[in-house]
Amino acid sequence: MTITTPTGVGISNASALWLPAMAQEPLKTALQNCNYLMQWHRPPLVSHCYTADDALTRTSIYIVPIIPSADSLRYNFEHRFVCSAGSQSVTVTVDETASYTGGSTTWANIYSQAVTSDATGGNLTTHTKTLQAIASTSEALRITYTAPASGSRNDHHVLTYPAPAATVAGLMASGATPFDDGLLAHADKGAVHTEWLNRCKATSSAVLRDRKQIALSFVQDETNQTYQHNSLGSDYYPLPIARVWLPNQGPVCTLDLRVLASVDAGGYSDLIRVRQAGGVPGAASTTFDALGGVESSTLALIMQGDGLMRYADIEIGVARLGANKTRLKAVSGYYTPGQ
Amino acid sequence: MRYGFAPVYWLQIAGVPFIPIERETGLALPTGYTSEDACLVIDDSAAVGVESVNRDDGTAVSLALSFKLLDTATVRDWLRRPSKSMSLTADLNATDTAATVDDSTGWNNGDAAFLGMERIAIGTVASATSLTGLTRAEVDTLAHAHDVGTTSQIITDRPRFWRGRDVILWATPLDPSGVAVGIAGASLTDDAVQVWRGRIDAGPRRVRDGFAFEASSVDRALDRQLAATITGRVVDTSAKVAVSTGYTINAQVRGDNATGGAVWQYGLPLQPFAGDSDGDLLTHAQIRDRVATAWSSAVSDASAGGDVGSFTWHLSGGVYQARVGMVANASVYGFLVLLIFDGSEVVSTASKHPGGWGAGGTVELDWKTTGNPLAIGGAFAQPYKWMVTATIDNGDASGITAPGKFRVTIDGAKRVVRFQVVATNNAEAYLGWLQPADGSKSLPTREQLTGADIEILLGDSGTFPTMMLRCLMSSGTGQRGAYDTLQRGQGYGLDDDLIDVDSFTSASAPIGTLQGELSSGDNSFSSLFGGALGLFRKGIVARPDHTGAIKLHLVNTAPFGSGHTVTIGDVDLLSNDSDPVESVSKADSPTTVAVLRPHGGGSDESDRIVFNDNAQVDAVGASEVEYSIPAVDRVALWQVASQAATSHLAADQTAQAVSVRVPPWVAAYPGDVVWVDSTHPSFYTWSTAPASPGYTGAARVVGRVIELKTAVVTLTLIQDSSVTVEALSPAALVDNFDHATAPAWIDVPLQYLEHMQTALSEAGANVWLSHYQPGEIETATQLHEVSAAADVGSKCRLTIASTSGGHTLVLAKRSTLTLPTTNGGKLSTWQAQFAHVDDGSTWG
Repeated sequence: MTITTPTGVGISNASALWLPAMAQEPLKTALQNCNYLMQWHRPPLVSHCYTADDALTRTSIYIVPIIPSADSLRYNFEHRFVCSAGSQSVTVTVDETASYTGGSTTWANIYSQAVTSDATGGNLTTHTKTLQAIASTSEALRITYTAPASGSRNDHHVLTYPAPAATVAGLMASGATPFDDGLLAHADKGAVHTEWLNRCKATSSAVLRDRKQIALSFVQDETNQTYQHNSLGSDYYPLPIARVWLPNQGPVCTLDLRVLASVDAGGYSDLIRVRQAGGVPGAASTTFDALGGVESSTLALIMQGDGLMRYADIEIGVARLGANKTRLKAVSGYYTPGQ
Repeated sequence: MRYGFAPVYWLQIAGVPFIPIERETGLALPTGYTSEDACLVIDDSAAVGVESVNRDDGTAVSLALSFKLLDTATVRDWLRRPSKSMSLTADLNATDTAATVDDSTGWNNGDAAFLGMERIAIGTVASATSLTGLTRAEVDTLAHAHDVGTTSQIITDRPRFWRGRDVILWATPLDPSGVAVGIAGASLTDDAVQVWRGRIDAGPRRVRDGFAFEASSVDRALDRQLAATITGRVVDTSAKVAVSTGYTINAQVRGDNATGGAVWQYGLPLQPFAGDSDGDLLTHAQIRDRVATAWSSAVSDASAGGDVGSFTWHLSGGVYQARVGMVANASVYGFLVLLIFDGSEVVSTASKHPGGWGAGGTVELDWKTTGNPLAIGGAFAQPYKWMVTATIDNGDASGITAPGKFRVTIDGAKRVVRFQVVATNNAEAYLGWLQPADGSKSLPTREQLTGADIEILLGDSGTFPTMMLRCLMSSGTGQRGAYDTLQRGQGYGLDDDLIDVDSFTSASAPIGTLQGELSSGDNSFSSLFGGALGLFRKGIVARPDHTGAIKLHLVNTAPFGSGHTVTIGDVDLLSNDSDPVESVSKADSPTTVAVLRPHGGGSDESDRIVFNDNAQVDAVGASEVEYSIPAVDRVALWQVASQAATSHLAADQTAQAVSVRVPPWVAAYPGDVVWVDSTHPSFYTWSTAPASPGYTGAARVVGRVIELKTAVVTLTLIQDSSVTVEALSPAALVDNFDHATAPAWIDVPLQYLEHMQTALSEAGANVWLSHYQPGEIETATQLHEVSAAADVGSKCRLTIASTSGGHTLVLAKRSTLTLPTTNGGKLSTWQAQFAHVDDGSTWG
């Protein structure tokens, strides 16, 4: 009666699959791989490069829409920024919310920590915080960097990825099912049944689909962003096109999109557009309101290229109505295997 | 037959309203049939049924039915030349209830009529050229589309063709006194069983006392080649765009003074394709010209010629840029042009001239193109890769859908190309966004394509069972069932009444999940799916479903399995004529398995994945079997093929085949697992030590034929030898229970009903099940004793006699029931035929 989490994926030798006797193996190895996958499949939930002013001397706040694991997993955080002066104290704070409503949002603190920047001004500072739980109900993270006492700060990147503990007994909310060998390894010689075989696939699929992987990202300061356009009409001004690589996926992949945008005044409908670029026949487009909350939709991508070089080009466009500014704060696009 | 009963055989021939029967019964006839005629002779026919399933391609080797209709008055009447005839003068689709004909003289309201294979009833002869109130598909025929210019445009009062008509052979029991069983009003079908189902291949052929017919089994039709191609010739390789006459570019043009105020402004609606037809295919140059012309017209219409000049395209570095002329006006300092394309995409240009436009000039607009000028930001996007325009001389160009593939013949070699967009206009098709689909790295050159013969390959994609169903049912009419979705020629047009759809849709991995993509043209069902069927040990056979109706089933042919349907013992063996059990030579086992992944257009080029059993090759030489499987993804195919090929190479070496003669009530059909418990020496048990004559164990039925005269059934069985492969033990998720700690009943999915009832009946006593919760700590000591299993609607309800182990069922934790352990003292003999750890069997 043991739930064993292997230290690596157990790949059965080809000889083990050559008319093997009906025994614990090779099934046991395959089932224990489920336990491995549950602990070690760690695709990034957040991998956003900040779009921000150069040489910041103020506190910056970034809101990142997320689709966290249904299992309320622990995550590791890595923040990267550069201070112009050495050994500056920058307080890094990460909060979460189940419903972003702008200034009235109720935030729950995940952690807050004073970080001393690299001793040499201008060098990259990497701050890592491990094993911080994100609730399954969270829809956005708030990341705050305080101003350094001297000099300025350039915000570069934030990375968040799952860091679950070793697999233990109990069904997961995601549908992932651990494997305990109490029946398969029983001295009385247990039945080798279909659920075990199915569990290999079902658990793999549940883990892969639950831990969504960031594929498209854009974020800028919650209230001090600089990407504001004047325009002649309601046309969309595109951001530079981004290429999303999804090796061996397709022919159609669907991204789950989360968009946060607002307007200073006036109409807000359909002011953000995300679409597949490149003139691909049948390419899809989806629009979002700039209502100040996290908006959800999906975008089906017709994958181009072959094999490992499968890709899709994506364009984010921003429109404004009249003189009212539209403020695009963040976009997160998540890839789910098989979707 | 048992107790002195004997069968009387009779036929249903689609469209023919009398029942040919061996002797008249006086019983009520099936709907649509008006009389029975004692004219049927089947005694000369060889045995019918499935002789075997070809395990290399999954096709059934089914035997033909020969029958004769004696020269009776009824038969003469139905075989005579038609006395009334007329012709369609307009196409009749499969759902039309009115027809236009050349001359209906002599025809009356209510007449029956034949068009091709279909029989219809004429409601009203409305005029000399009009029929209305048609009732389609009468007397077991199917509704077809009947086109002018084909043989089915001719309407007659008797069938013109017998070849192609569906036939069902029935057997109805006669009691020992020769009387058909049944009380007053009983129907001929009440106690009848379907013996055989097929289609007339040949006949009527005159023989001395009647007319002879040959009919082949329904599953033999799957070798028939499909004719799903549209052919033509490539006439052009210029990029073209299908245009819409309503396409509009709204140009807002404004001249500003020095302070930004408007000196003049105009709205210029451009409709560049107003003079074309919807769907016309224009080259990029033609589109540029039309835009320039439309600009001139709009300027003229708006009387703006005094301010706004002409529209031209300026070519520089391979890029065309739009340019607008400015009429000299010293008051104009700024020039603003806003182009709104089809109401959505916008291109704006603002140009300032600090010195004013006193001398006139031109303004470069922010509208640049290297291809289709209207492909603005992805909208109105058209292919910008290679493209071809083809004239279609055979087939309907409008039937071409994207994405798809075409095949061109270049210098004798065939190349297959995938296209992602298509536009058609009358008999012209424009195929664009091209990619090689035959494994080549590059497309044919423009020079090679121009003038080449082209075949549009109509195809399909999806999981293999789904594609099989579409291939079987599709008729182009949408009338055969839910899977009749492909074009005419892409399928066999079989009615869903002839197909056990559940056996296809319930197929599990790998054949049920692997994604495929195929081209139907020049292929048959067998060539399209035979590889997948063979590799994954499946077959398509005509066999009875649970109602007794013979239908095409997707069945297992693996030489192993558990959960048998019937038991065959010594008492069932028929030894009156010859030895009831004979060893059968089976095909050589392969030492090499090659899996081909054809590239779209057929077998011209393929990926080839080879699995070798080198030790066997060294010993007996290479014996290769090839499976062609049109999978979408090579990696996905490799993953499943490697496991299947391994199983072939390892397990097939030792499988043994026997033929067994049994009476007709042994309900074992191809695909079934039977339990053999026989001492006959032609059976042999290889797995015991020492090995011994006789056999007790499971066997797979791969053939069943019946001698019509004697009703002797010969089964072909594949059974274990030195290798025993068993089915995995079932694991039934608990759906519900009475929420007691020691429950009195537990519900599991209905699919387990047969298993549980068989387990109980075979044990002749209560059986035990082991409980566990997936993901929790699993033990072998939590047990439930089952005393009964019953269908309670949508569930299988297990009556629980006792519970041990101190556990509680929890639905939220997915409580599951499986078989007990081998050594725990609770496993029944029948349950032991399912896989257990160290039970001496192997993984298959």
